[in-house]
Amino acid sequence: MKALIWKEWRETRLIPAAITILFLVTNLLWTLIDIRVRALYGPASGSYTGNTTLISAGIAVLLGGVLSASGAFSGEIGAGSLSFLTMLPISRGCIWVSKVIAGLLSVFLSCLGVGAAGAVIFAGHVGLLKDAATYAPAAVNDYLFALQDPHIIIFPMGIVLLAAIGCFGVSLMVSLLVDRTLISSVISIIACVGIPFLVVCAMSAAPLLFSGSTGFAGQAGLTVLGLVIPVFYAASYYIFANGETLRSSKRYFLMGQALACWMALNIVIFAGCYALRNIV
Amino acid sequence: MHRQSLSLSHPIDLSKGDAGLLSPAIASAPDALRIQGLAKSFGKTSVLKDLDLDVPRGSVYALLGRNGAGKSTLIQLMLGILQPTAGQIRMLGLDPARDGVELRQRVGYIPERLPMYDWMTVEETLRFVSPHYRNWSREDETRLVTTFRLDRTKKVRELSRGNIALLALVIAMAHDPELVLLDECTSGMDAIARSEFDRTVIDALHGSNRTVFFASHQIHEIERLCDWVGILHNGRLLLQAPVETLKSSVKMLRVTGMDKDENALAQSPNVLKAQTSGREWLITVQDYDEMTPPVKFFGGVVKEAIDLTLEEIFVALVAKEEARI
Amino acid sequence: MYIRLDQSSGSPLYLQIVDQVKSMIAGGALRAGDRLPTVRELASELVVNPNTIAHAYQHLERERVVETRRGLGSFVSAAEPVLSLGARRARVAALLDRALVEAHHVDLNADEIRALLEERMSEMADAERSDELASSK
Repeated sequence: MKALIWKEWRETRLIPAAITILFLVTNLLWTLIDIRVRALYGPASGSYTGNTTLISAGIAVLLGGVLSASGAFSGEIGAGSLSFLTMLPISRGCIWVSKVIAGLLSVFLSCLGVGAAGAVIFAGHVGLLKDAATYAPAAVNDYLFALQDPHIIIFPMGIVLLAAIGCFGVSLMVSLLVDRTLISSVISIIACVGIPFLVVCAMSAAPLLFSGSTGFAGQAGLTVLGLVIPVFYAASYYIFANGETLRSSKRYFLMGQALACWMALNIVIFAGCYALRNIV
Repeated sequence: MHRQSLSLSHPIDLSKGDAGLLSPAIASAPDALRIQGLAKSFGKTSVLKDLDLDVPRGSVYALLGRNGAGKSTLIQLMLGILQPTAGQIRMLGLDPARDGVELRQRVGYIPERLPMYDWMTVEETLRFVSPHYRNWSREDETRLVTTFRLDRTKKVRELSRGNIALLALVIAMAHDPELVLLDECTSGMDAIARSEFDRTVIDALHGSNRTVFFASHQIHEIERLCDWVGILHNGRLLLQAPVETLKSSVKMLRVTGMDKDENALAQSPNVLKAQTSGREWLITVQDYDEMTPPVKFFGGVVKEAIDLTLEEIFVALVAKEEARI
Repeated sequence: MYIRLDQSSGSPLYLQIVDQVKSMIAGGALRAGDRLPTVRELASELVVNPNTIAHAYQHLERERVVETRRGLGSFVSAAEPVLSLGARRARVAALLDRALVEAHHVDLNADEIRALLEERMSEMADAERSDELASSK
């Protein structure tokens, strides 16, 4: 198991570094431009604020989540090296677990790296704004609030980390279904944007469908939403453990099965919540 | 139909008698592999159909077949990497579909495509693989790496195909497997690597109950290594027999003074191939009996019975089967 | 002991080994009491399945060409061959037939063939004698 995790880590270890550097470089450029613009056209004309740091950090971490998983299986399926793993005396469950552990490690490190880089940008931007004597109340206020109450940063970062773990799960499943890492990454990004959108749509539609009993629909919706992330992990495990060569079309059949199970689970949850609506 | 004629040779199995000379325990040991009614299909394509196969313990069994005959699929089923559609496999007394992990502990396998991580060095590959095997022997590993002159610091991507195959052989052998499965792995190897590979396989046979199972379409190269042979054709086993039994029952007869036409000969079930140069016929038969060699053949006089190589026998048998369909 | 296997001849490998051991004994390269390589050594040297070597040795043993001493290995035996005169004659006749066919094609007449046979026999006897001298020194 240790050897497996070591191998997976060797393959994913560049991702946190790459994400951190990407984040640092883009934000650094943006802040420098921002300061120059403020110096030229007045303090209020800047485009970079504390929220920009937070949002771009969030996007970077989510991207880290996607990239940490998107090559997990697709790369090995494409290169044919998956059969090297399956010929060893280890179960498919072990292989899946090692990939998830190494991938999640990479997600956490991306989060840490981006967080640290964000703090540097934060401090640098405030410092430069003061030095440049281009006092911009709106921009600096964000930072001051954040310093007074760290929850303003920690809470959104926590949400982002959770979302990144979710993106990792989605991307892990996509990587089982596609043989090329690049295509897998693109599809994963689309899925990570699309799935929350669908969930939000479904949740806002639910009260309309069950007019008059929004309480149970909200309850059921929350339960379903809470299960979305575990469902992707479970589905990817199911497909990998039962798939054979993983080049065959059997994996799509397995995905269909997993999807059907999930739908059935959702119906059970809704039915359960409906039955219990008067008791709770 | 050939199958019956040659599978009956099971009781007079020469290889088991010989193995008995090396170590008396072997003769009574159960088969290393027993397959009954095995079928495997991928979607609508059926790769293996109702396959029966037995590999005696201690034998070197060569499974011959054309490309696409289903050899690799069979090996993956034997290792529990694929699941059978129907039928039963017992390998070293285990069911691969259920006990795949335990089975892979006891089996050395070299796949056809030799997948490995090209960013790892030889040393890293060995350290990546070895913790998974409970019987891994560092001495055996060192001995083999030295024999093959593999550079431990080299990356896999810098190795030649032959050296990658030798590295795979180290992995397959260093955990003292009871059964070794070799899937076309020597194709593309140069002569030196090839002879080192073969010698290692031969040396590994001594003093142990080890069974070796080759899947190959390069028959010429494995003739001297194997003592059992099975021919897989279109997902079915055409025949299996000890090599010597097969070689003594399939012969080319030189016949003169025979007035038959080729069609009539081709109808005869035991005639695999008939060629004529006018006066003289060369006829490949599969029911030759060394004890009572035929003197007459369809009214002609048998001048000589010529020995055939395994490759010639394979080609004749497969061609006959293809003509039959 | 030097054995060279010809894989393209189609003749079973164990028989090739048997024939070559016999011809080495006939030619004086091996003599009574000499130890043959073990099955293992020969298998490794020739890169041949050990069962094939074991089969060849069994065959040689059945014909009393070789004897196995427990724990010591196989030795060239001093015993007379067990085959009947008829069987021995038949075996040599088959080989002579092939030589005669070849002689016919290269246009050697009966006297020339007889002379050649005498010549080969005395040459082989010479070789054996000089070997004996060398080993007694």
